[in-house]
Amino acid sequence: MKKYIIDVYIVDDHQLVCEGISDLINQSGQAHVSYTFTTLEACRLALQNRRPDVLLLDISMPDGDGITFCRQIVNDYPKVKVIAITIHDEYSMIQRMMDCGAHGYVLKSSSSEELLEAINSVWQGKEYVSRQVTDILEKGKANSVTLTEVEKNILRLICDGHTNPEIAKELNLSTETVNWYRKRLLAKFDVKNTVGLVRTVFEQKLL
Amino acid sequence: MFNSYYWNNLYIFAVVMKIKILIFCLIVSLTAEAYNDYRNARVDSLEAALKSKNPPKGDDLLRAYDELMRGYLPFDSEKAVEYGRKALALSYIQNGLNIRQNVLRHFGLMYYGREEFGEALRYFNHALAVVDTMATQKRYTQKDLDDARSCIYGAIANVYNIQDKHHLAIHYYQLALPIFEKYNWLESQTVLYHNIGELYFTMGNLQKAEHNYELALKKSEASGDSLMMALAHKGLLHLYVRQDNYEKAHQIAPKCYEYYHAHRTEEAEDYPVVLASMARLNMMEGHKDLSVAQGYAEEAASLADSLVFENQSEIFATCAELAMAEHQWQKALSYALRTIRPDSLATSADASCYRLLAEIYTQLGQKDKACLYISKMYDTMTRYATDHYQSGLSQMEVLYETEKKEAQILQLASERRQHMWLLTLAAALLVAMGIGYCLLIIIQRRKKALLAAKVALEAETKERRILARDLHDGLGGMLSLLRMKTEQGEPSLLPLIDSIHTELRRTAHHLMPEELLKNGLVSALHDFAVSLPNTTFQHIIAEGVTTPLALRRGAGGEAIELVLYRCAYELVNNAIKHAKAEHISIQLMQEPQQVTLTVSDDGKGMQDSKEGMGLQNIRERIMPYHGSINIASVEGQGTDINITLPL
Repeated sequence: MKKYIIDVYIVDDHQLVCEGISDLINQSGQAHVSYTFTTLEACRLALQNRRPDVLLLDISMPDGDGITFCRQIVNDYPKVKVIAITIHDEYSMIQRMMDCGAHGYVLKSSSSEELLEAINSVWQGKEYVSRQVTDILEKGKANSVTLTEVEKNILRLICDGHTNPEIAKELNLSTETVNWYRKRLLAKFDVKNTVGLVRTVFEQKLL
Repeated sequence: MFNSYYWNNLYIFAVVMKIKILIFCLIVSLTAEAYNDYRNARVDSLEAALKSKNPPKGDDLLRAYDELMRGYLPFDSEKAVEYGRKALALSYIQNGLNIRQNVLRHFGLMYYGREEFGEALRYFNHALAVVDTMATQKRYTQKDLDDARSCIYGAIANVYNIQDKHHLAIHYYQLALPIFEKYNWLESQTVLYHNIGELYFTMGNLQKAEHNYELALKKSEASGDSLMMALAHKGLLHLYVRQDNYEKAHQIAPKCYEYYHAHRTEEAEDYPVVLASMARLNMMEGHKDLSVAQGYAEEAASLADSLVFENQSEIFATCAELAMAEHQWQKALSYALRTIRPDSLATSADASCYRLLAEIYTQLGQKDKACLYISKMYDTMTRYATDHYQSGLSQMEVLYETEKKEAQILQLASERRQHMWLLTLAAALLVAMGIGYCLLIIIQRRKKALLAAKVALEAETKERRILARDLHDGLGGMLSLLRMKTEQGEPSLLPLIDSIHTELRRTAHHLMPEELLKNGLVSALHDFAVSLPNTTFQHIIAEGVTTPLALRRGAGGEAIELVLYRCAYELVNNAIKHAKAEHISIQLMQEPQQVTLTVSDDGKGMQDSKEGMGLQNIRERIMPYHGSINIASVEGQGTDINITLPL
């Protein structure tokens, strides 16, 4: 039986990068790059006539934003699988790209095996993010309401019923500072007043 | 790459100045009747007159020396210096201030011609001081002062221009501008606007460059000077090509080309550069016509031999890029190799030459060489970034010092005036006035310092943004590809490539975090926290804040965000290095009137007697924005550092 060869398009503003990645993919024998584009507009036009199985998409393009483009592709051509291939390893960028319906996210610094694995996985309908990316996503999503040591001390004294001047004296801070911290604690726990604050502390067993 | 323009401008400027001096002398001579005998005399007859039985005396002798100096200047500098010295000596005896400043300025110009710029500056500044003295005497008219000042400012600016001290050069050109405007000297205005435009262009501030070039064009059109019009057109064409603005470049190209083509023998220096711009115009994305581009490029290359190096380099780079667009790699290589400066300085132009070579070698499959040029490019970029930034800051310092001196002069002048009042006013009133005056001076000084710091910060921001983008997007992508290709061929090179890559990304990020530009402070701080171990980020919105991301709105919002981001960077670094913290948290609290950044750690706490460099840096950063630092520490448990900026 003849093996199916995955059809791939590449969009990257550096012609050289397009060609290089094409070579790598074509050499593997598992997939074939039929077109490369250096602008989003060129790719948009080509997609109207013929669609690939997998689209490799660079996020920072000169004529637009890869993220918005990704959302349009996923909406207009649900069968096309989009893999972001980029230099960006920031949490917000990865998150936005995945939110827009990208099927895979590969960093340009990853190995060629990883890229081929990504192409294979998304074509089979799985989501693929490289290992490094998974770590970043997990860490970014973790809930992060924390109290600093200074806040903990002030909160403890508030719960013990001390006034701002007393807390200021105890912790060697100015009254203004303590007052500001009190405001910040209210904002942090999204409560209206000190009573609400104390109740939250006891309910959530924060101290 | 653009140094040759400077020479060209200098020449024009010198011509303009010479004409002005001649007119000025004419006016002076008409007023002095005794001078009539010498009015049209050449150097020989002047000398003969000096040796005659009835030599000129007093002011006339002084003028004779002055004119002899200028007469000898072009062909015999020894004699010129001799007469200059005589004129100088005599001017001290007769208190001929105008001649004195003129002689001093010409001495400066002589040193300038010999490329001894330090000496030249010394003389120019001396001349400026003489003009200041002239201002205190009634016998000189405002026109005398303006004439002298504009010439000296222009000369000083030219020195700074040639020394690549762009900020200072612009500052002095801008001092000369209002004088030219006052007398409506269109030619001089055109030259200055053009020079300023060119400086901004070199600095990468394309917006301001465009503005100044356009002004130059307007003024030259008003004066009908076709040479200056062509210069302005050339600048604009270059700029639009750089901006990839096809429409505007296309509009201006024919006018520019027409002039330079018609005057290609006189403008042998600039004509090939215009050709290169035309070639680039025809290589632009979407309007490609490579055969036309080839025609222009080949003509430019054939003329390139007679040029100074910077322009040659630019032309060969154009040829190389053209060959690359046509996939003729060997040809591209032969051109690209000719772009490299033998005594390489670190400039962004050098870096782009290395980038070309790296691309070509990658394409030719010579990985070792590609790798070599990528690391060379990286080195150059880093060096350029630091040098450029450092020199920018030191120039700001010089400007600030100059302003301080001006304030002192003003202060002295008004103190003198105050003595008059002393006689008439009661002592008590004077004390009260003095206090008020001091307060005013203090406020003014502080305002100036803040302004200087703000300007420096904004300039820094712009330059960094451009560099960061170049590094991150351009070079980063190339490196990734190189890595993938190397994986199969020579795995031994992989660790080197990886370390270059990491270092490059770190530098680019440090120059300008991209997330901050695109999506603002909150997102950038979140990313920053995620990229570090045991670090969390919280965004707290206090009651009364209606729009969560109000920071960006209005002028200066971006600058505030950048300042806060850099503070966070500095503080987290401090916490890791010095406080031995295990957990770090970054918080950003927004209130209706202010925003507070808190970086806290659970480390050993602060010893408040000693404040490290880090905190001092932060104080300097937030000072222009009226920010404040508050440190709250619980001994042995941890520290909160709160930085508050008003909105």
